[in-house]
Parts: sequence; C-alpha cells; structure tokens
Amino acid sequence: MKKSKTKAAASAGRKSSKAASAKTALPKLNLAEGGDGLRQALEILRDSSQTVDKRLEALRVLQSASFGDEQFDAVRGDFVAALREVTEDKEVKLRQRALGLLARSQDSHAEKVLMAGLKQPEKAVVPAADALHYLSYNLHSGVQSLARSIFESSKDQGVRQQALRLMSNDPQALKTIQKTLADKKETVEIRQTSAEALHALDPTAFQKWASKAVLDKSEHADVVATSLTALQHFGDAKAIAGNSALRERLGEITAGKSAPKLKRMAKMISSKYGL
Amino acid sequence: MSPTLSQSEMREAQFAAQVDEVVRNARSDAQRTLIDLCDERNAAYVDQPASAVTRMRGWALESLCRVAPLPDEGLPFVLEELETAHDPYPLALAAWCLRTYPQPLASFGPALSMASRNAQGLDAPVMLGVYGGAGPAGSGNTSPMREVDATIAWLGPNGVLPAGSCCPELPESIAGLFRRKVRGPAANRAAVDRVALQDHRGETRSFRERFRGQPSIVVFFYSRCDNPYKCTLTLSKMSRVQAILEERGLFDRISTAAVSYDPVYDTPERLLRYGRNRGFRIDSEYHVLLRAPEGFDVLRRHFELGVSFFDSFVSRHRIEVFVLDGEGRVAFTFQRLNWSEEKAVDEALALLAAAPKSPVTAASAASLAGLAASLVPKCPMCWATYMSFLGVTGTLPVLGSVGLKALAASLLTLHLLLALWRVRVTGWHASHTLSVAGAVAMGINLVNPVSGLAWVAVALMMIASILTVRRQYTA
Repeated sequence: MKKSKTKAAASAGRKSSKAASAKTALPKLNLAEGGDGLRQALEILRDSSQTVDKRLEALRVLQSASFGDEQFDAVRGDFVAALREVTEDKEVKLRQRALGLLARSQDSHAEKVLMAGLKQPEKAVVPAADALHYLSYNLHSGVQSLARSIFESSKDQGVRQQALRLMSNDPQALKTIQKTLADKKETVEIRQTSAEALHALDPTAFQKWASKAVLDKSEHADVVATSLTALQHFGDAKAIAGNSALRERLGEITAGKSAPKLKRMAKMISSKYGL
Repeated sequence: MSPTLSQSEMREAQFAAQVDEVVRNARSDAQRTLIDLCDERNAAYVDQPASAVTRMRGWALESLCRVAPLPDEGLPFVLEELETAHDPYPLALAAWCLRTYPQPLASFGPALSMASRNAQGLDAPVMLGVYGGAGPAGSGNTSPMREVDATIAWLGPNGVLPAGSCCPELPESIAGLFRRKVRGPAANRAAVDRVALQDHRGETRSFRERFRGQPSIVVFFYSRCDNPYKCTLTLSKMSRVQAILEERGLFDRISTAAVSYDPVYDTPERLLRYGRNRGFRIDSEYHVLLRAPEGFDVLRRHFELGVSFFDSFVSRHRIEVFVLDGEGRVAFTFQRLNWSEEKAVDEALALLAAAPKSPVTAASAASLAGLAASLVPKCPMCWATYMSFLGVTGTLPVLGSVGLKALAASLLTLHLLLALWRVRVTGWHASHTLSVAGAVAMGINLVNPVSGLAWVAVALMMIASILTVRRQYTA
C-alpha cells in the first residue's frame, strides 16, 4: 500500500465518519441473544460486502461484550482472529479500530504490522502518528529506538509529537528531549510535549529547566505557562521559596502586561509557596 | 550505542536458523543446546526487544519438545510459562510442550490451574510449528485455551486431588531445579561489596553496608514490569514475608530488600511509590527498596540474574529470590516458579541460627587488647608499682621499660588490626570511630604522656566495646 494512498484513505475515513455521525447513528444489527449474537456480529465484522457502518457497529457490539459478557470468553479467540483479518481491510477506519484494539492488548501480530509500516512506509496500513500511538500501549514493543530516529528525520509535526510521547519513557532519549525543549526554533507544541517527556524521565531536571524558563523574558508565553504549571503542581517548595530571582519574576508577571492566564498562575504559585 | 532494530532482526533470523540446524542434525547435545537457549541469560538475547525474545525462546522451547520428550531440565521453562505467561504464544506452547513430558504428574495441577485462568483472557490464534507462533495475517492452528484444555485432559485423573488436599509438591528431583543452595564464594566479591545502592529515601550505602551483619531476603523487580504475575506479585509476596518475620519476632533480625532491574528509570520516588502500593513495609532500616545507579552489571553478574535488555528496557526476566547470609553471600535461591514465603523465611532463619558468634568475641577482644595496653604504666608512680611487681615476681630481668612499651605498642597494634577487620566485615560504625580514636589517644600517650589522656582513651575504647556488643545483640 502506498503512503499517499494511506493518507488519502485516512482523510476519506475521517470525512466519511463525520458524514455518518452527522446523518444518523450506526445501524442496528438485529442480533440473536448471547453467544449466537456474538458469532453473528463476528460474521458481519469479517464480511467485506457489508457497509462500513454495519461492520463498525458489529465491532462496537463485540468490544462492549468483551468487557464482562460471560459468553464472550467462548469467542475471544475468534474475535482476535477477526480483528487481525481486519487489519488488512480496505477501509482505513476499520483498520485503525482493529489495530487500536489489538495493540491495547499487546497483540504481537498487530505490533508486527505497525512496526513494518513504520520501517517501510509503503507497507503502512495506518498513518505513522497512529502507528506510534498504538505501539505506545506496549512499553516493551521495542519501538523506542525507531521513535528516536523518526523524531529526528520526520518533517510531520504530528508524527514527531507522537514520537516524542513514546520517548518520554526512554532514558536514552533524555538528551534529545532536553535539546528539543531548549530549542526555540521548535514549535510550541513540540516543546510542550518535550517538557512533559522530561518531567516523566527526570523530574528534577525539568524543575530546574522550568524555573529558568520562567526567568527567560524572551520565552514563549505558552512555554512559560507550561513551566508555571509544573512549578505549581510538582515544585520543590524549599528550592522555590529560596529562589529570589524567581520570586521577583513572578511579581513582574503578576504586575506587568502578561496574559491574564499567566498572571493568575504566577499569583497561585506565589500564594502556594508564600513568595 | 543503542542496537538498531534491523541488527536485532538479523540476529533473530540467525538464531532461528541455528535452532533449525540443531534439530535437523539431531546432534547428541541437541537437548542441552536447546535448554541453554531457553535461558534468558543466553547471549542470543542481548539487545533483543521483548517481542523478539518471546519468539526466539518460544522456538527453542518448541524445538526442545519436538526433538524428544520434554526432559526434567526443560520443565522449569514450561511450568514458568504456564504460571506467568503474558502472551498467547508462550502459553499455548508451554501447554502443548508439557504433554511431551513422559508422564502426567499430579504436581503439574497448580501450574495448569493458573494457566487455565490466564488462557481465558489471552485466547488468540497461535500457530505452532512455525517460527514466531503466527501464520499468514496472524492466523493460527490452535490457541492457549485449546492447548490448556488438551493438557488438562492429558493430566486426566492425576489432576483430581483427593478431597481436602491441596497443592501437591513437585518431586524433589524437579523442585530442586527451581530452588538451590549455593556454595562457594562469588568470584567478583570485592567488586560487589563496593557497589553503591541507593534506597527509596535517596540514601546511598555500599552493598557491604547493606547486607552484612544479618541474613537478608532479596528480590529483583522493576516498576515498569507489565506482567502482573511477576514483579507486582513478587513485591506483594515480599510484604507477606515481612508479615511472617514480624509474627516470628524476626522483623529486625532478618532484612528484606527489593532491588530494581531498571536503575535509571526507577528513581527513589518511583521505588517508594511502587513498594508502598504493593504493601512492602519500609518503616525500618532493615527493609528497603534499592537501585544501583552505577554498577548494576556487577550485581547482575554476582547474582547471575536472569534478565535481558533492549536499549534501556528490560525485555525478559525470570522471578528470582535470594537468601543472603550475614556476610552478604548468596546462600539460597528460588527461581522461576511461585516461591514460598515461609520457605524463604525458614532459609533465612536457618542462616541466622547458624551465624557464628565470633564477630562479637573478636570485637570485644579488640577492645580488651586496647584496655590491656592501657594497663601499661604511664606515670612515674605506675612505673614504680609495675617495676616493684615485676621485681617481686622475678620478671623484671625479662621485661624492662622498653620491653613494656613494646608490649603496649604490640597490644595497640593488635587492637587496631582487629578493629579494622571488624570494619571490613560490618562496614564502618560509630563504635569503630570511638575505638580507633581511643587507640590513637593511647598511642600518643605512650610516646608523649599527657595527664588524663590515658583515661580518656580507656573510656573511648570501653564505650566502643559496649556499643559493638549492643549492636550485635540487637541485630
């Protein structure tokens, strides 16, 4: 499958989904009770001659049954088999749903398909950002090293952001994350995601950085807001209380022409830490 | 440099070919080779992601069960997967593999019972006979539930326990494969003694300081482990160990420690949170959660840990529990299968009972030698008294003033040596500071007598002696 085709399909999927939800709810399936009904739903899901909406509804029925329907254990294996089949379906919406569900249960086949798509985009069955998102469900999928290289090479900010999220549990990505956070040429979204990643990997380093970012008058307001939030919720009370420069800067923000959101946050921090 | 996925894929393909060759050639050592390949410590698993390790070990295990009936040495791997598998492929494979064992044993029942519970939530298509356990588009020829059901049927009446009985034990020849006494000193002892271990409060002490002076029960875990039957269960079981220690009045005589496999990620805060959430008690110096920010590899070699890594992530580990003696040496291990908390405490208690009392005697001897040195005369009056005594007893010709000083110096040297030996055994304590300070004061007084210094020296050494003995008995 070509990359362009994947993108087009993804876009078409989103459009058709919006159109469907605008018109009507998903169709009713008239299924039998209990296990027979679940088997009927499985047949509909597998049947590519059915409409996408009908197959999505069958998938919804099966998914909700998987959370506690006693009859479901008898068809669980068949459900996984059906989802694996659907990962190759021509409808991207179905592929996305199936891969998302399988990846959540750390299904080895789904992970193989997703990894293959990231390594060879012509084999991708879902957009790269989705693939990274699904693979993030399994910490041990081994995707982290791939995520690092995708982050460095991709031009797509959505993909890079998703790769960064994956890197937030990878100690080997620490330097890249710190570098990205400090790089004012990166987009605010990417830097904010880097901030979250650094907080997850090294909370102490992030606290230090957040204090510096608040002091930096040339820093973007949204990045300052992120830093203020971090100081407010996770700050080291002793270090903050003893930081006279920070106290002064918070006073400036509160009294100056900063955005109301920043002023409010600065006030809250001052009041919390008695500055 | 971190391994790339393409390198690991290439090595995985080579591994599969190597296993196939072992099977094809039916070499006499085929079973041994395949058993070695089931061990997660095998070099083949270095820098392989978890999914690859699952496929590789699965293929080695499946091949082992195809070349001949499953041997006893292969049972630990099979029973471990039945109890703890978190993936459909190894679970289905283990259930199938067990049926190749020469006879169904009633003691397989508990592991199969756990497998049956796990299989319900893990059921998915699995393809046995194919590398990786999956056919085209993830199709399969069996599933965990089918294989577990078939194995329960194979167990037949053996699996039905008489009313009121519980949990038949594995024959000792097999059980011994999961737990063993360890003899002989570890090769890298000096290196492991120096490894700095940071606890959940952020305090750092050396391995020697942590584990010398009392027996310890030590487990390994990591907070990012997503298998509920491994790390989470291990920590919960350690809280049970602590409860047993308390019931038996051993809470401050046997220590417990949980050490992270993932020292970079598992910060003190994460250790604390993970332990607390699983009931691990940390309200005493003797019960700690630890990480080795530097030197984890030394620990890994010392304990021969069954763990493999990819990048900075654990890709596979076995359950492992160690009982250490009062010298910090591994004396007993439990591996792979669910271990018994009572048995671990019994082993530690046996070590406590067998611990020699000599350290107390030696410690006291150090101070006694110092005290004896204090008896050597330091003032003109004392000298006269001693001289008179030696003269009356006829020993004066043997020992002159110089001889007495030499005797005092020898006793002080002996005192210092014994004190330093104690430092090496137990790590540095306040009592050692006092003891050495007393000896130094006494030495100064011998060379250049200062009024009252001898009594200060005697007092320091006596306090040191009392503290040492008190510490030994309260420990």
